[in-house]
Amino acid sequence: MRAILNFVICACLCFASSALAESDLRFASVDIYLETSEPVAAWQFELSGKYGKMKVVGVEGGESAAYQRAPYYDREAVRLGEADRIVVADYSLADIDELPSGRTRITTIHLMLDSEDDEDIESTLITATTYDGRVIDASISLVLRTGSAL
Amino acid sequence: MTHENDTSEQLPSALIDQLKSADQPDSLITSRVDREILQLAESQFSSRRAIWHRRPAWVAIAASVLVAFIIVQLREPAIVDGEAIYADVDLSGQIDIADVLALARTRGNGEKSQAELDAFAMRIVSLAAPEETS
Repeated sequence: MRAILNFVICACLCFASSALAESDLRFASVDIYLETSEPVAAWQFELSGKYGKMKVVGVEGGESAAYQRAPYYDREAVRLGEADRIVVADYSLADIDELPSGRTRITTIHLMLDSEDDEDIESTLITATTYDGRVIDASISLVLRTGSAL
Repeated sequence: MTHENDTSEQLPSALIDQLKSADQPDSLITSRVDREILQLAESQFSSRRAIWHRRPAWVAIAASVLVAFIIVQLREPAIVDGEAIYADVDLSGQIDIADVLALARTRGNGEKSQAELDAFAMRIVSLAAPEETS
C-alpha cells in the first residue's frame, strides 16, 4: 500500500515539475518610471500583458520619499492570483518641494510571467497631476528585470 | 409621683380581681413551640431566600453581557463606504486618483477621513469594475 502511495506522489511531482518546465514561468520585477516636467502629486497607470501569461504577485513603493509606501492596487485580486493585469495609483500630500519630478521610479511590480521580453508588457498612464490637481504632460516607461525560472 | 398600685386598695375588690385577671397572659408559648415555629418559618422562607440570593447574580450576568455587547458595538469600526464618495470630484470627465487627491486636499476642513479616502482609492484600482477605473 505504501509503495503505491509513494508511486502516486512521485508521479504527481514529476508531472508538476514537467508542467512548470514546459510553461517556462519565471519571476520578474518591473520598475515603473514616470517622467514629468513638474512635481507630481498623484499618478495612476495600468499594467497588462500583451500576449503571454502574466500574474502580478506583489507591488512595492517607489524611490521618492513621497511615494515610498505601497501604492493602491487590488490587493485581493493579487492575493487570489487573479491579477493578470493591474491598476496602480497613489497620491501624496507632501509639500511641493518634496514631490518628485523628472524621471523617477514610482513603483516596482513583481510578476510571474512566461516571457523575458519587456515588449510583451504594456503600461498605460491614466493620469498624473500636480499638487493642485492640474494634469501634467507625463510619460511612463518600464524596465523588466527577469529572475530565475521556476 | 404616686404609683397607681399604691391606691389600688381604694378600688372595689371585684374591679381589682378583673384587672389582675386581665394582666395575665392568655396562653403560654413554650420554648418548644417557639422552636417549632422558628423551624417552620425557616423552612418556609429558605427557598425564597435562595431565589433572592440567585437573582442578583443573574441580573449581574445579564447586565455584563449587555454592557459588553454595547462596548463591542461602539468599538467596532464603522464600515467605510467608498461608493458614497466615488465621484468625479475635480470634474475632469473621469474618476481617477486625482479625485482622491482633490478630496484629500479638503481634509483640512475635516470632511473626509483617511479611511474614506483609502476606500475611494481602492475602489478606483479595483479590477472588479474595469470600465469605471479610467
